[in-house]
This record gives sequence, structure tokens and C-alpha cells, in this order.
Amino acid sequence: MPPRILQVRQQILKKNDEQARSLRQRFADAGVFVVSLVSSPGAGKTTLLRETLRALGQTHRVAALVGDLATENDARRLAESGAPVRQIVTGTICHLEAEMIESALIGWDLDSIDLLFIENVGNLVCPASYDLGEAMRIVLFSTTEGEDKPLKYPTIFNTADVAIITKSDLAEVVGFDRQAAYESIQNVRPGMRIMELSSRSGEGMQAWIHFMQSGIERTRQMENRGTFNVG
Amino acid sequence: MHEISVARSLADFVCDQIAELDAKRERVSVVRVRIGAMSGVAPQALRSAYSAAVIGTALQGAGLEVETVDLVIWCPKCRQERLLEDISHLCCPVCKSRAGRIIQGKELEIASIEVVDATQNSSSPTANSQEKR
Repeated sequence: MPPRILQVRQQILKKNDEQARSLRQRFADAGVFVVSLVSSPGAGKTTLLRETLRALGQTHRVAALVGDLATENDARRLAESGAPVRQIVTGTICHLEAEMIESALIGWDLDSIDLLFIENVGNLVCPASYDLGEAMRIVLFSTTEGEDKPLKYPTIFNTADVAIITKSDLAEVVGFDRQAAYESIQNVRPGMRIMELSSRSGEGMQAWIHFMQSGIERTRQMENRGTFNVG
Repeated sequence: MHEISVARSLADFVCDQIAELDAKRERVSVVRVRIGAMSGVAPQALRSAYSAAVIGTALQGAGLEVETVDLVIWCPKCRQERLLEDISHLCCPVCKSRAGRIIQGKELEIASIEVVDATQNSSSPTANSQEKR
């Protein structure tokens, strides 16, 4: 009997993609603006998140899911802002998957959240292939990491919507070449929006907070339009 | 090493697909996948992860054939598709202008599953992991 070929043509991560799609629909229905953060370990995701929760928490309902291989330290740190925060401990898994987001959200009323952050595990490789249902993926890298970081990790930069250069207060001390960094980012993702900030000195934070506010506003308008169409 | 998760998804999916096969009569000899240069998955790592993921499943002994898919972008200036060797510079190799629209190269897909007669005991020549372009 000759071999039989079953043609499949199917995404390997179909299950994750489907779960992400259903999450995206839930977020849209509830009018939640969902932003995921990816970076290498130590680029400043948690500090940026802490300052953002603090600044936006006054006017908006902000929540966060934070992924780490081990410990609940980040969730504890962030919860000091008073915002609802949940830790996702991934164990040995080096990235978050849509299913983990789904289970972490159990018991949360999405209608009472305006902005949900998903902080991925610190890793510039593995999170690239996994859609989490977010509306926007933001990749961070710090002035202390080297300007060619985007060139070394093109896939994650290419899958992100916005790049943030963090620790801008240290740029001068470490001799950060701003133009080279911008060039690197534009090479891996032509036209990508770039923001620069320092969570510590507050430099660039206002523009960042405004950017998040406009995302919340846009999501809300889309939700209203959706409701209008249905009703 | 997210290739472990990818390999597990791959093995789960293929096992589901072949669930209705009569294992006494037919077995999978090769699973063929297409992996894009910009997919974030390294073929070599996927192969090692795959051989571990299939242990104890109906796929044990079935090979993995990886077809790598080159990165191709659309250059709006030349109005041409361009093949890129270097995935960290999305620039047209001819006119040198930056071009971000990806035509292919992000694939992470199962292409086909090859099923053979299980009663013939000889192992198929394609039963080992191999790469082709």
C-alpha cells in the first residue's frame, strides 16, 4: 500500500490562536483596553507598570496580570498601588499563553476594568509566537541594554506595535546612542512608534500616560458603537 | 525554549487528527511542518522538542520534516516582492528603502501527515527528522 498523505494546512498554535481570539472578543465586548508588555528581564516592565498604575489609578480602573517563572513578588509590589493584580506563575514555561490569561481572569468582572496590563515573562524570544488577545503589544528595552537589541531579537520587535526605550535618565551615563537605537527599531519594524521614558525620573511619563488614556478612550468608543449596532 | 510548547501543540493536534485510524493497519511515518524565518521558532530546537514530545504517543517513531520558509517582503517602491536573507533588516535589497509588509516568513503550520501501512515493519526512509528548503 502506498503512503497516504493527509493534507492539513493548519496553524500549529491553532488552539492558542482560538483562545486568544475569544479573549479579544470578550475584551472588546467589555470595553477593556488590553496592553501586553514584553522585554528582557530587568528592562523595567514592573517599575513602569507600578508608576502607571499609580498615575492612572486616580482616574481609571486599571488592573494587571503579571507572569513570572516563580515568586509572587511582582504582584505584591504592584498591589501596593491598590489596583487589582494577579500573578501568573508559569513554572518552567518561558512565556504566557492565552489559556493562562483565561484562567487568571476567572472571578474578575471585565466590565469594571478600563485598562488591563499583561506583563509577560521577561524574555525576548518565547513570547513572540503567542497571541494573548491583547489590543496592543509593547516591547520595552532599556538604555543600558545596547542599541542593537532589536536587531538581535527581530521577531519579538516585529510582532510588537510600539517600542518603549526605558531608563532614559541613564542614557547619558551609559553613552546610549539614541540614533542607532531608533535605526535598529526601524530596521526590524519599519514605521514603528517609539517612546522614551524613565519611570524613575518621570521623564516621558506624561506622554505615555496620555497614550494609554487615548487607548482607553478609543476602546470605549468602539464598545459603544458595538452596543449601538446590536441594540 | 518555547519550542517545547510548540512541539506539544503539534503532537496533540496530529494525535487528534489520526485518532480514528486503525493503529493495527496504519501508522504515521512523517509529519511535515512549515516554519517561517520570522516565526520565532528555531527548526533545530523544534526537532529536539518534537522527539521528546512524541514519546509515549501514537506518533512515537514518526519523523518530522521541517520546510523552512524564507522571509519575503513587499517593496512598495519597486512594486516587487523581495526575498530577504537577513530578518533583522526589513529593507529592499535592491532600492534599499525600508519595507515592513511581510508576504511570507511568519508561518508556523502543519502542512501534511503521511500515513503508511503499519503491517509492513520496515521503517520508511523518511522516518528520520530532516530539513529541506
